[in-house]
Amino acid sequence: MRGTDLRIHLKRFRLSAGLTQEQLAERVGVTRQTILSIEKGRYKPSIELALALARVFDAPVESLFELAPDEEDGT
Amino acid sequence: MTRGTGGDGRRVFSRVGVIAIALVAAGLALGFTVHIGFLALAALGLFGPGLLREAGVLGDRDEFEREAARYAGYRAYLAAGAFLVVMIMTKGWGSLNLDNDSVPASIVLALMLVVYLMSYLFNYWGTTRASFRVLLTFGAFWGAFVVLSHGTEPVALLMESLVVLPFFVLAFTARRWPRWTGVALVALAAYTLFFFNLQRAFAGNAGSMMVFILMFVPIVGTGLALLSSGRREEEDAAS
Repeated sequence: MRGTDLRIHLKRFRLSAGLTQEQLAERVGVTRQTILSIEKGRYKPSIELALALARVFDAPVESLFELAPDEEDGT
Repeated sequence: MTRGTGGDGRRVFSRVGVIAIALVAAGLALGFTVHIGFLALAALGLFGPGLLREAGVLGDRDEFEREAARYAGYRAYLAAGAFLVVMIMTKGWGSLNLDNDSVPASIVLALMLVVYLMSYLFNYWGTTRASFRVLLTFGAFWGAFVVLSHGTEPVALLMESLVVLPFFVLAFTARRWPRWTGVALVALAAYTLFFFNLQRAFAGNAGSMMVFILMFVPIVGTGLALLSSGRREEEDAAS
């Protein structure tokens, strides 16, 4: 899997919820730098962290992190 | 995932970092002025937190920080391994054995630490911010060295300060023009090779090796990271 296949919508969810990066980081037990790196696409979180983030927004995890359509088979 | 610090991870992380830096500074200062045995303090600061984390005693890092550290460790391994093979070949050139393969341990240690630290900071802060901070720090250290060396000689101080100035300028251009700054840094790194006769490093000169590691590696590393980052940004913008 290539490194650019993931679309990340975390920032949109965070801003909609009115949370700062610091507040979100505190809610899921990581540093603000980790949230920043995820939002910028520099770091792909573990399944555990992705689920914890989804729980904060009461949303399915695939709405926060979405796989880009595969160009080869059109899925 | 979590830092295991009772919800106050940032403060504990800072405390560990401050203690480690203090130990390294004290260890180096005392080790080179009083007794070499004090280097144990520096080793404690450099490797103590990592050993405690591996033992599960210290849980101050979250998953992103742990991954950055693992990645930095892998890069340090690659750099040190490649460097050692080159040194074994050049020192034993013409022979068919490993009798002359000695390399100063401090050189290998410095290379591992520089590559580890650079890689960790670039992963942690991202290329642009890390480049800005690394170049500012590099310029500040070099500037302090110039002032300490030529503080009583105004003309020499002025001339030597001009050498430091590009690092401050490049620190700011790194944010706006990462690719061009990367090109400038790689060119600057190539220039330092000739200016400081760093090719002697490959002939086994320990002093040149240390200058090569402390000067050439950070400059060329930052330059290549900016070049790579600038290309990725252009690809992202085009896609």
